[in-house]
Amino acid sequence: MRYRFVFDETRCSACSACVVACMDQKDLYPLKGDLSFRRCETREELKGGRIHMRYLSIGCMHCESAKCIEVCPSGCFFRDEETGFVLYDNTDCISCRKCLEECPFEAPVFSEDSGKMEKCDGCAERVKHGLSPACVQVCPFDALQLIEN
Amino acid sequence: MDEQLLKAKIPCKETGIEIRHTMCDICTPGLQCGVDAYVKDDVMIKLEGTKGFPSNNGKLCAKGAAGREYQYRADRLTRPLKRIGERGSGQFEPVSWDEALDICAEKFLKIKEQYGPEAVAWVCGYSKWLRPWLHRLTHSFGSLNFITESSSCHCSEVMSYSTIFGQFMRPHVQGAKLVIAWGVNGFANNFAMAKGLMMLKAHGGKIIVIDPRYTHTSEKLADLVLRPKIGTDGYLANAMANYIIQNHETDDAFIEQYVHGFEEYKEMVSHYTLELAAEKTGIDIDTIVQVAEMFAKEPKALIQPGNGLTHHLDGYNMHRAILSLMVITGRVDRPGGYFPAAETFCHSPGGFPGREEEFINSVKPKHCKKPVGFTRFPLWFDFINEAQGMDLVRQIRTAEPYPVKAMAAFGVNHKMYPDSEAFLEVLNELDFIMATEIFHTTLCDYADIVLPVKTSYERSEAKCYANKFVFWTRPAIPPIGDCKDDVEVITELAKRMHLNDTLLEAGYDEGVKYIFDGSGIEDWEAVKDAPLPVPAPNAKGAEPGSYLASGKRTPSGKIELYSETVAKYQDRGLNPLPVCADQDGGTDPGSYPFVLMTGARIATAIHSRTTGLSWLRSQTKEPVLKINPEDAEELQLKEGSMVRVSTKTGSLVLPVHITAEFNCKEAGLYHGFDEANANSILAAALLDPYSGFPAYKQFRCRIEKEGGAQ
Repeated sequence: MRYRFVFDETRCSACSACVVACMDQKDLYPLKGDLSFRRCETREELKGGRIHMRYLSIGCMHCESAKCIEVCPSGCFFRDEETGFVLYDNTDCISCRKCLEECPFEAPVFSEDSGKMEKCDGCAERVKHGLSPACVQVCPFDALQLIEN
Repeated sequence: MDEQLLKAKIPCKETGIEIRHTMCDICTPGLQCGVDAYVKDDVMIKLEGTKGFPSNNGKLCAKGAAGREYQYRADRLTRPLKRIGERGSGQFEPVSWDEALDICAEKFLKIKEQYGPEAVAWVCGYSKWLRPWLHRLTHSFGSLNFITESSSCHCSEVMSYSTIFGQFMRPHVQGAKLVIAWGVNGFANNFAMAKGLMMLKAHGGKIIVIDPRYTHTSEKLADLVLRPKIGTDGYLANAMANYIIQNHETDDAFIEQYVHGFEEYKEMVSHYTLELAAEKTGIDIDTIVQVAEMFAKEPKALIQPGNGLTHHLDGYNMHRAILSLMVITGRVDRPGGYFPAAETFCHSPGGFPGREEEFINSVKPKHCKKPVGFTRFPLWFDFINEAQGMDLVRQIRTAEPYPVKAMAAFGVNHKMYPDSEAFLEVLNELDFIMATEIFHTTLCDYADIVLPVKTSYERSEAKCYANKFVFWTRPAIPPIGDCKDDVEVITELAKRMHLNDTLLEAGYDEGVKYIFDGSGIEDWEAVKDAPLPVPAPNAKGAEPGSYLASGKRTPSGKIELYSETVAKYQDRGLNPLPVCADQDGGTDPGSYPFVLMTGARIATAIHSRTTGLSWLRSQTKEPVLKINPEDAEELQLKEGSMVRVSTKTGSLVLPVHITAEFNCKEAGLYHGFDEANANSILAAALLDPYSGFPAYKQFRCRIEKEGGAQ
């Protein structure tokens, strides 16, 4: 079964539940310098004197044509045939950050801990066991969803 | 393979990870979401919401999702402590539970003997789950000085509803077609409420947001947004009422049959012209008319008022003025209107007759001194069965009308009190302080005995939900260190003080069974074993019409626009009608040109309870002072510039966040942070004279660029 992530901006309020759930699932600790594999942003715009807020949850969208797979000089990224997710093995990562530069969502993060790039794996193992990714599971407003292709 | 499964925290035989059902108790008892704790070797390694749970159905907010970090915070208290240094020094030695509890019991009894039972204040902050037991203990001890942080939250809205309807009511959003979300933004603090409005909108309903701030609800759901100047909502409500009456859009038959004091009310609101409301609120007349028309013409229009409305100097009347709009249009006790809210247990509705009130009041002392706050806020006691804690600091300091010499503080945080430093200082004047806490807080440093208590994941706790369900957890994980739960502490104190209260001494389980007696549940162990809340056999939902058919518990027996209860206090300057008072935050606008709103909810914090969590702090700008772009330009401030915000009480230095969420000359600051404690600069004396509530949302302040203009 192959899946894709869907983000419905109209349902998101940038509440950060997805970010925290990701850190809980992946044992990411900001005090150790870790970054979450998702981030929430509130973008405020003034249009013709009127305030407008955009609420976003941003992370790896496991793109169909994934830039990271294309540009990584060490070949760290690959497509998981079972889930369709973009997974990685960062053994050979040289932390050149090309994946980050080319990613439209700026999804890969540099881990102080490992000295290498890391990113969301779609909670692939959970998905293979019939569970939702942590961010999808927690989202109070169902702004994040995993859809079967 | 096993390592991969373990890393992914897959609950299965290979990993040894099992899911245990528990609940979150980080925010209020209203939600208390069901939690699936992923547990390995008795350690919680992950948590998520319980699917099918009535309040959250598998979902969690950011705070609830951070529960594991909350559980294992480094500053968890792990053993009873006895203070050996000066108050506030933080010098303690560990003692056994027996020794700690014996000391507390002996001290409380000694103070009771010397000064009377009222000299001990039994105070409850968060968690709230223990309240019925602490309340009963206070009564059995011989006093009415049971105090909660609801002295600054929730109780004022209970007063307001009770003044008009004789009891607490709740807006029935599911039945409405137009909702005025008045000072309500569930996206930040109650996702179930926000989802209710999203659902309404998806089904073609309309939503009007009235809020000085531009909120998530304004952006995502509003068909119309009104942003009155802070503290002027009462003018808007009364002018809408006047317009509706002038245009004959009231429900006259309803008023005739059920309402008391309409003529007096009509005369009062006749002074609230559209012009006056426009001047006070800053909203143009056409928009006020538009809202009044939309509200009056839609039969299923509902006002959902936020609790924050009560945090103004005339918050009680402001809230009452807003509720009155629903009365004159007859939207009471019918789908989409205000429904009677039966709080069966710990502020939650079980849908069956509960015995919480009996549990608490059957041992209420008949002959004792009046509770704290009685002389200053008598109206409070017509509606609320606990002391008004906002008067506690004054009474300790002055010993008027009688001395308070000891405090049993259950989860009390000084940062909750306006002029928080004064609260800490006055603790030095007490002979004895006992504190139960989950974390080592500043207040603990002032206590003589500190008792470590369990989190909701570590204890067993009963709840009822949604007019239908009963839930009772078993501990999901063993406690950290040597923690007990708060009710064990209360039960032990009752025994050691020889209060001869057998039901209290029987412990938590017996108390729950007593209170839930009418639920129809017989096999309580089966409830504890159930993965989800179980329906109570005797539960039945609210029946529309039953409230109107039975007698209203107001003095007149009708729904009171003119309050006969408030009328008793006219000599103290209280008005039986919901009039607006011109409040300017107690200081002159010239020296203090900004109005500061503190405590408007954010999604990544709840009071001071989550400020120690790195997961949430990594997502939180606060503490920041939110100001409008125009004000920032005038003050030559950039995003993150440091400012000094000053009131007559004190000042704070902190960075600014520039946002049009706040209007010009208004500013916002979330409370609970040590680095910049909003409540430390709010004057303790500026309280709503009706309810005693602090005006958290309405203080005048000055904002200056720190370090001078550059």
